[in-house]
Amino acid sequence: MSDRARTLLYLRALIDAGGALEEPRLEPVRLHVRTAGSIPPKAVMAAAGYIVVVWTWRIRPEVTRIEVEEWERAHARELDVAENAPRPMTEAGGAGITDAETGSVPSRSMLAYHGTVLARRSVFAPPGRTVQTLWGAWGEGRQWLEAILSKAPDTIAPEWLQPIARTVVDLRTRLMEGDPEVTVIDPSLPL
Amino acid sequence: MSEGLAGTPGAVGGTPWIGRPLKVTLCLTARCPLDCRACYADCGARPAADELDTATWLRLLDTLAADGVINVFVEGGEPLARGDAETILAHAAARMFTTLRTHAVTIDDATAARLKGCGIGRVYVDLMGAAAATHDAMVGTPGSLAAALAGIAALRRHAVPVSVLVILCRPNAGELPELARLAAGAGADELGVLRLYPLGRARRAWSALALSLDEQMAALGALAADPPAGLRLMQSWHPDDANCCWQNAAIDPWGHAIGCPYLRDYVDYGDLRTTPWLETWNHPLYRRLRAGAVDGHCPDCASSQLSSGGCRATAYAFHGRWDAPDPFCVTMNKGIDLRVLPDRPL
Amino acid sequence: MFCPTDRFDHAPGVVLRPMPEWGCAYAYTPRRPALTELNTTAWLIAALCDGTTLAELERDFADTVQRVAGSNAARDTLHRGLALLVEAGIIARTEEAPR
Repeated sequence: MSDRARTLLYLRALIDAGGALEEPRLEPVRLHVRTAGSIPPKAVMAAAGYIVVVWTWRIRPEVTRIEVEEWERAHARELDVAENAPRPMTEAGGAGITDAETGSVPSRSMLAYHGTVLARRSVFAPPGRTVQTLWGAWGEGRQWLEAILSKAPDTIAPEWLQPIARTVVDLRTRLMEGDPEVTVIDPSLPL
Repeated sequence: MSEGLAGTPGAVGGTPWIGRPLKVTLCLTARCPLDCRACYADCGARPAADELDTATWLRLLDTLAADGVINVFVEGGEPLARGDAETILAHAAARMFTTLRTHAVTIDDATAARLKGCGIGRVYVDLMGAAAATHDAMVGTPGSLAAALAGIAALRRHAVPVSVLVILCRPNAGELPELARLAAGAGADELGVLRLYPLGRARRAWSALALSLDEQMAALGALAADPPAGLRLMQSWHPDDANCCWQNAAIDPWGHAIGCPYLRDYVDYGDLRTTPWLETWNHPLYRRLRAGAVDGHCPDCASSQLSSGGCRATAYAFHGRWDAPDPFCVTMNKGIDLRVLPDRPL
Repeated sequence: MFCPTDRFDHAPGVVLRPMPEWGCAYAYTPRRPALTELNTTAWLIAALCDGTTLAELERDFADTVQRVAGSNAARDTLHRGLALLVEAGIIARTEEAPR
């Protein structure tokens, strides 16, 4: 049997087994490893009560990774507003935090987008369509994060959060298949 | 610390199986015109008599292509220190997506044009600091930073995509944000921050070069807090600590299959002058590392990296076991001081 | 867009690397250095482009996927996939010389 015949036999069996004809798709193999934006050091997270919320979700079959990346850029742009500018991190009681190693005071936005980690992080990986989207928040940012992830945009106060929330709705309705699995990483919880 | 994330090794995706490798790193030579303090290969200016010759590299590339390799990363030493580097690169680029790692100090417009012409997909340039004093001291050669930046400019004039790489260590830890701005200004679209590995000269200079894990994470945090627009950041610390043995392959300058350049001091899967390429891929230790069984893993990294346990080379260097967790992950560090190498023969 | 007598083949220099373990294939296009992942359907179309005419492609593709798609849906899918592959420089089209 020739290689071509063997390949066609395999593909016929694979398509039959899948039960459906997928829309043809080409996607660039990106040699860079896409990385989530940096999450603060553990000690700083603990002191400031910095939580990380992870949505694990599946990309709709017809949506490409490029569209997910375009969404990311739009979402990150909405977060880049004066009300969310980086500020010196403080503990829950208001006392300042000093990074033990560097002696400096860390500054962070209260609401941060840490990126959408594609299941295929390595250069080559099986074509999984599961991704993880990560957000971080401290101080008042925790309430902001809860609002944009769970409330209808028009109901959210303060108003500057509403465009951000609309991008989250866009994620859920246009890009996401089903509902996300939600995980909250809270440094105040015991290991 | 986390609730709800799959905590079972390999629960998200698992370590994927690959019948034949898709990509390979060629460590083309141990020649280099520089004198880097952190050199893993103890490079020098003198050509090594027993490095593979041109014909052997070309034959190997033909074998790799026939056996399914579709991506090659060519590094050294300094690959361009070999007179036949462009011949080898052109041969590779006709058969697979080819990228080059270089110090760029010898790249002028003519070289950049030739690299573009032979089909190089991307060039990775090592910069060891944002300030000339830092970089030049790290590579042991005055004027190197200026020469490297000129090389990057030449590559960009010929529309060759450029990534900047930096090995994070004590002398440059405070310069990452400035280095990011320098890289972006030079036309790079990516900055990759690499770990310091206890190999070669870096191992001997470990106490002077190595940072604690907290210092490393602080340096990364400073970098990621305000990255220049249009510059992607790549780093392999938490939560991006991958155990990438499952897909990696590498060949050293003497033709030995070593799995990964960071395993160069620890493994030898076979001499490719006498052992078939796919036979080395199936070496028992290679298969074991690819299987990804590790004692303890970070759920955050495992769930995003398709693998568990992080880097095997650093796990082995610090714990002396292939199934040990990677101490470079904040979750798996377990109190190991990365500034101190274990006093143990390897 | 395509004519029944057009012929389709891998573009010069293109390397197609099947990845049966994952149900996909990778294509390297040296002329615009890039690596592209083809899903199962795209891979099937590329595999069928072996100097074949469009008419032959339509027949062979429809035959291969007949258990999961009718001939009209198959033809439409094939044409969309061919367009993608030609635009990506993976498949080249040559027009049959007029008689």
